[in-house]
Amino acid sequence: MSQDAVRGHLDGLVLAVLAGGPAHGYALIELLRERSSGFFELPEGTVYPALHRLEQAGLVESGWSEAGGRRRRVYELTARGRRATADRRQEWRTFAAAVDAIWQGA
Amino acid sequence: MSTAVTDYLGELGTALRVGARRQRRISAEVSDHLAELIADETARGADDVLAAERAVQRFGAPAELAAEFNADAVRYALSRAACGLAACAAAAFFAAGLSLQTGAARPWPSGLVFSLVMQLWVQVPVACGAIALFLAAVAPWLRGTLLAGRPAALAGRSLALASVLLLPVVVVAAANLGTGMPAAERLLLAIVVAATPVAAIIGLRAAARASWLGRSAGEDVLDVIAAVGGALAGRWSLAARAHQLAGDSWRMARERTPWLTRWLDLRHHPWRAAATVSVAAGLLLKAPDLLIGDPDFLGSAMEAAAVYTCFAALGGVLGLRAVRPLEMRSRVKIATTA
Repeated sequence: MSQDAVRGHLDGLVLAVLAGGPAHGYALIELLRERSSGFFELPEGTVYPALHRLEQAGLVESGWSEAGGRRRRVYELTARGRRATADRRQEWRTFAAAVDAIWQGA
Repeated sequence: MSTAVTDYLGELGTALRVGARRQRRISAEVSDHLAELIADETARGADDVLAAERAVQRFGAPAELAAEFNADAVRYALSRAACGLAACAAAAFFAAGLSLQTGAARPWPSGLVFSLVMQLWVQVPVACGAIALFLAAVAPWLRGTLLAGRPAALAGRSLALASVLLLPVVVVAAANLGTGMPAAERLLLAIVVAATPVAAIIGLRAAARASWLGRSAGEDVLDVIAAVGGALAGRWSLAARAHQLAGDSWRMARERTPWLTRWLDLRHHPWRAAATVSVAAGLLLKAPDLLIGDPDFLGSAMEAAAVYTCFAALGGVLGLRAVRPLEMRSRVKIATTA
């Protein structure tokens, strides 16, 4: 799958990762890589425009935190974000099942 | 901080067009992330210089990152300006309607000019603002997609038009603030006078940057309307039924009265369809008068003329041009070859 195709789903993927709990940008991209078994090997900066976009849409909120002398901006889902994540999960499952059914007949 | 990181942040900062506050926040976040990456690379055995070089490489090209932030800032500005301008135009229209209905004051410069500017002329920026609002805010939200390409260019043009066309409305509204109109109307006019220039400046700036959202290719307004119809149908069962009903009705009409559907086909005969729809809209807008037995034919004609003027002024701008037979043949040829 090309990087552009992955970028088209990035907002949804970021929401899915944040559904597991608050995370900062570095941890988020690590989780994305880990949970996809290395499939999503994107430039690490790619997540920041997605995070800012989701924040502007009111789906995530963020704040600075300091741990071990290192400052990080931590993102977490808002109540609207949690609802949007559930909707997107459902949409994706329906879409994936339909595509899968077509491929099985090929 | 290493030279590679300083250079990276400098290049990113130069390319960003997002406002000073957001730029500071982005730089801080990028700097923190690069520090994590350098620590990671150092732990893997790289020296300081190599670790910094690898970190900026892993983070991605600064120009690409800035382009993505800039595009999002334009989308946000287009959407906000469209909301503001549509609201200002609607407020002006509403205020004029109220003051003409109560007839409490003598408007400046005369009742006729006031009515022409604030009731008839204003409908064009209302339409432009509504189209920009639909393309820049409503459609991306309902479809779950990002505004880009031709719809972005069309939203920008509509916004620019609305900004410019609202100027006479602001002048007339400002001049009528001291004419002894009732407080409610004056409050609405004051909001129009104060908010429109701000929204217009943001709108013109965002419109000038709409080209950052990709080349002007792809969907026109009709395609976006169709996609929004589909998205609504996927969300709500009532909308799905309405979508199905509209599709079935159009298919049935095409089978039974092909002459009528050809006449109303906006994509192929825009002017003919627009004239018919304008007359229908004029009659519909005055339907309450017809129902109470007081038909306002002059009002209907004015509404129809306003709708048609909107189309004449905006049809080309919005990409609603007639498809010429030659162009149709080329499209068919391209499709066949593909």
